[in-house]
Amino acid sequence: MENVVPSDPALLERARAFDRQALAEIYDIYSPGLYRYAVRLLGDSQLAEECIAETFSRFLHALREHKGPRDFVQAYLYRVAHNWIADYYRREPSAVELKEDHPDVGPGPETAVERNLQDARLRAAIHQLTPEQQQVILLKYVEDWDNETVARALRKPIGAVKSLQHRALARLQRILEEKTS
Amino acid sequence: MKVKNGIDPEVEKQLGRLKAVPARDSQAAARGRARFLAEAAVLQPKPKQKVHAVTSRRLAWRFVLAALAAVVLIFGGGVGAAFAAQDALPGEALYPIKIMSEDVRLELASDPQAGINLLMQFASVRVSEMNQLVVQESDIPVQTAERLENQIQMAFQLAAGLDDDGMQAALLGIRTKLEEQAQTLLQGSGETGDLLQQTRLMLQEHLRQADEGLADPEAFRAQMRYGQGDAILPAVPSATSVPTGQGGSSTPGGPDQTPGPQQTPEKTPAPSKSSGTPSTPGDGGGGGGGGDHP
Repeated sequence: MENVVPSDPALLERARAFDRQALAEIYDIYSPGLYRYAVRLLGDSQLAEECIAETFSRFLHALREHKGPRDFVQAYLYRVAHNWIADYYRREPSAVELKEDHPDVGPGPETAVERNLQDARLRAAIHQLTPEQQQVILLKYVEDWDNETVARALRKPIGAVKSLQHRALARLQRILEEKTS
Repeated sequence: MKVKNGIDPEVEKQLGRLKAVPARDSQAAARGRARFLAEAAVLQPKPKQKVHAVTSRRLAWRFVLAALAAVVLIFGGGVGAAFAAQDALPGEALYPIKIMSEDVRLELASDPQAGINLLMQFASVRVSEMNQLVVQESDIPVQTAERLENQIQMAFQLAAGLDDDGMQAALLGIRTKLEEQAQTLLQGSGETGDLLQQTRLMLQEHLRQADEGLADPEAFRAQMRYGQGDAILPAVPSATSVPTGQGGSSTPGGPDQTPGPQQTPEKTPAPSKSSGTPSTPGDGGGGGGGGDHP
């Protein structure tokens, strides 16, 4: 499992007091992973930057209103980022199939194009899932989070996450099969 | 398909491909971080203790301001002339009064941030003057473009003297103004067109400088400290309608206008907010009740 950073209550407390160092630390710890998460879902680096900027901005506004995460900063930030992305696709439904700037590493141009298309298809399939199903699939199988951390991000019991995961995978597989046939 | 550990291997393979992500652009990342920290500085709840001191200081300034304003008005030929001068264009009789009143206001700026705001406001006035001259099909004195650049450079130098948070906030403000100025500056033909084109390039160059300052405050400070005279517009031989020390050369302002000592504070910086993004959604993914409040 990568990317999962244990929360530091003292750090969060300092961030609540708008301690600059603490806020910078939080940004440095979490923004790289959030960026990758956003690019994976959006397929566009500029949009991903916009998502990160808005996520951290909402985090600040929440802190200012004495809201925001009580304990797990990471789960909170991923949730906000995911909401931003879901909002984006609600506003721009046609964007699901269009965005694609993954690197063409390794194979020749034809294979790279083909692979990009497959990725776009997969991303489109993921977007047909419910927001919770999307999150559980991405956090568990792409971000490699364990069930406990996913449960925190979704604010659900582990058992509920497992069944959500099961349903999400079944549905994703069905959608992908329909697309290939 | 055979399912292993709850996931079909083919689906797992496809999902695994999403893990490959292009490297994040380091400049974009630095800008994002800078914006975040600047926004934090802006949103930070302010301590309420120094109200009394600030108020009395402000009163003192008002007194000085009133006295100096009276002097300016006397030299400018009275209230009417001073007001009328505000609409004067370069080359007109009242224009020097307009410039002088700007100088006085700048001298009276209570702190560097107020000075920066004034300088960028005056810079916008310069752009507006240039546009009016274009509309009137009059020539634009090169000194007007130079004064515009001087004011921007002075604003940069004042910003470089602030602490990290202040500098980030100031650079963001300067950036916004520069963008507006670059957008509103008209086109022209002949020599006027060339000057406008140079001015546009100068504004874009300063926009780039502001971005660099946001991404790397220390380098920006060093640049301001050691390379402060680097005007972008070409130097011009003489300054006819320009009051001394105000724009005939590319030296930013008079000697008194140079920002105070460089207060080099903490390390890296901060600012702004992204645009055009949706309003706050509920919290994550629609989960049930719980601890956080996104």
